Amino acid sequence: MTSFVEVLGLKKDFAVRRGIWQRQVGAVHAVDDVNFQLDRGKTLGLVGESGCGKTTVARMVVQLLRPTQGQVLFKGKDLVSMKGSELREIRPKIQMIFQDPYASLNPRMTVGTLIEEPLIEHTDMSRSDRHERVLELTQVVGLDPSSVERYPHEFSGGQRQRIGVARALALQPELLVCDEPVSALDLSIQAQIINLLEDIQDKFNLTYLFISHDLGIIRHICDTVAVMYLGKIVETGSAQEVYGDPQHPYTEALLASVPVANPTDRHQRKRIILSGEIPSSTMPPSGCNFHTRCPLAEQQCSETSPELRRLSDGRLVACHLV
Amino acid sequence: MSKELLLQVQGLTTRFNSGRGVVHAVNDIDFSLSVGDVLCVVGESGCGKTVTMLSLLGLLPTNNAVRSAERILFNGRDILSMSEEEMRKVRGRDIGMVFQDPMTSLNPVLTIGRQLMEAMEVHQGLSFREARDRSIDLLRTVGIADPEQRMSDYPHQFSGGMRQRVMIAMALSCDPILLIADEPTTALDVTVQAQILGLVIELMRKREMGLIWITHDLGVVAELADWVAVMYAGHIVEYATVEQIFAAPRHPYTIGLLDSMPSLEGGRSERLSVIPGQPPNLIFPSDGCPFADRCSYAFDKCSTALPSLMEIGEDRQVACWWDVELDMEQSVEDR
Repeated sequence: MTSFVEVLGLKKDFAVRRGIWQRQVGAVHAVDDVNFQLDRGKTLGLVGESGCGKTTVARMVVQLLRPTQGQVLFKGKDLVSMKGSELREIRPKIQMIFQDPYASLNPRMTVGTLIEEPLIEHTDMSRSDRHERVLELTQVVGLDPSSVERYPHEFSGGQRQRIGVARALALQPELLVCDEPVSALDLSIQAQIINLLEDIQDKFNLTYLFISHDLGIIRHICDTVAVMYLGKIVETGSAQEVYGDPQHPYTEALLASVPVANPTDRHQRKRIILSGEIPSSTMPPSGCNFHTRCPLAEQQCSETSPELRRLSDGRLVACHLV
Repeated sequence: MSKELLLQVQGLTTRFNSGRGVVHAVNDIDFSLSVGDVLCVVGESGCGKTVTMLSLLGLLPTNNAVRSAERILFNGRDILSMSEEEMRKVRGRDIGMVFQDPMTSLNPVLTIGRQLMEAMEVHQGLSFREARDRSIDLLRTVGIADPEQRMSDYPHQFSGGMRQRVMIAMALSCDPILLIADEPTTALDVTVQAQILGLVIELMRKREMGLIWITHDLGVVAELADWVAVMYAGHIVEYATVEQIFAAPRHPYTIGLLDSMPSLEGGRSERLSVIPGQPPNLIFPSDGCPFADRCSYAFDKCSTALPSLMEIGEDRQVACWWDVELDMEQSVEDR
């Protein structure tokens, strides 16, 4: 059986150009050999710190960016090798929700037009059918029907994100790529949007690739988790296992860094404070990417890069010491 | 309390005149802070956290902001009666400040060393050599490697976390007795945030200082605070010790905030509880409780009368009618 979504050997290098001739002087290795698969109706969380390549992966899955190398298989078909009309036909099935609800909606379009736009572009529905569909979508995402006449600036961040969700749902997608959909929102509004995303997932049997730097949200919404560091996946497995018993030292440190909302035992809590910050992805360290900050690093870690290996419980970890 | 009172604020109110009307940004708030204590001010964007601190420091824009207060005492001195000249001496020397975005609060065309030394030369009259030596010490204290070399670097050569360390070093440079930090770790990654929090906890242990830390992250509050002030729509709605806030929150908004936080343990099965609706418009505040529209406990009194902060126990205040009513009913029953 083929997976619903499978990503194989995905790589993306961005050229670094300098001088008046814009000669290439180096490359940012934003994503380096990323593999994962995702079953229908499930949610995979990509988690990591800024600059680890999460968003680049998302953009390659949606084909907003062409990978340097690798394949993105959607229901067994490789999107990377598709062109023109073939790709256009499949695009409605894969939609994206963006991080910034302030920047991702055209301020000159009414909410109705914004939600209708993909229908005009990709379907031959009649005007009245489209109008009906738009009203139906506003209802699904919990917007007042009167909002179709209004403009994005009249809405708060949370409601704008609802507009973004309605727009993404317009073409009845099967895969939704959510790139930090709630990071720009306040805590009390975040919960509203997360609940909405869960509701529509159940209702329309959606599959999510969910990107966030917030470990609490990832834990809440995801079935499986992939932890990224400097362009590579360092650990992936079921959310329960990864959070309950992290194996990679980076995963462990990342989880230990999250402030816990319980002040009673704060002085006894075990802390792993990583020194330094993420190295530049223009010149990633030799061997294991993480060895410069890893509290457990040994000689071999700076020499050879560890492969993702499967552990007995089924999860994959890229570390020499596990 | 036996500890020395560092800051006492009573009846602080700030209004902004905007094109669309008067914005009631901060409404009659009271709080205080003792030496050695950490006060965390929590709330969502636009609730008046930052404006409160800017009002304290006299850093509001002069063209459209109006501040009034019954009393602001800092270290025994009356801030309200200080001239701009005197206030300038307090800021930077007695009160250190760290802002959210280290990218925009450092001057890009001056070296880190120059910017660090400036405050010490101005406020403490140190010579070039003394200021330089102290700057190097400070950079070392906040965990910057090779401080001698880094002194001649420019801000763009530092990463976000390093810049925030420099900001902290700068805020500490004149040995302040009060440090005000406005969302200093919000723009940083969690592993770097953990470094900064560790550094601050260490500093609080070593120095005789009070700390006001503004944040919207309840996790950070739990790690850092002794005292917590929860703000909503320009009001302090609950004020208590950190243990009380997390163990037994009393204001419905605090309860809602704590419940809507996804935890690292909870999985998909539990649904996040939600505070319905949105924060109110600060231009046309209602007569009643600002939270009434979103509150599941609200009753008729809530929309007509504004509850003020009321003592509900030792060191504990809450601004809510519901809680008070409940208490009265209980005490009637007890009798």
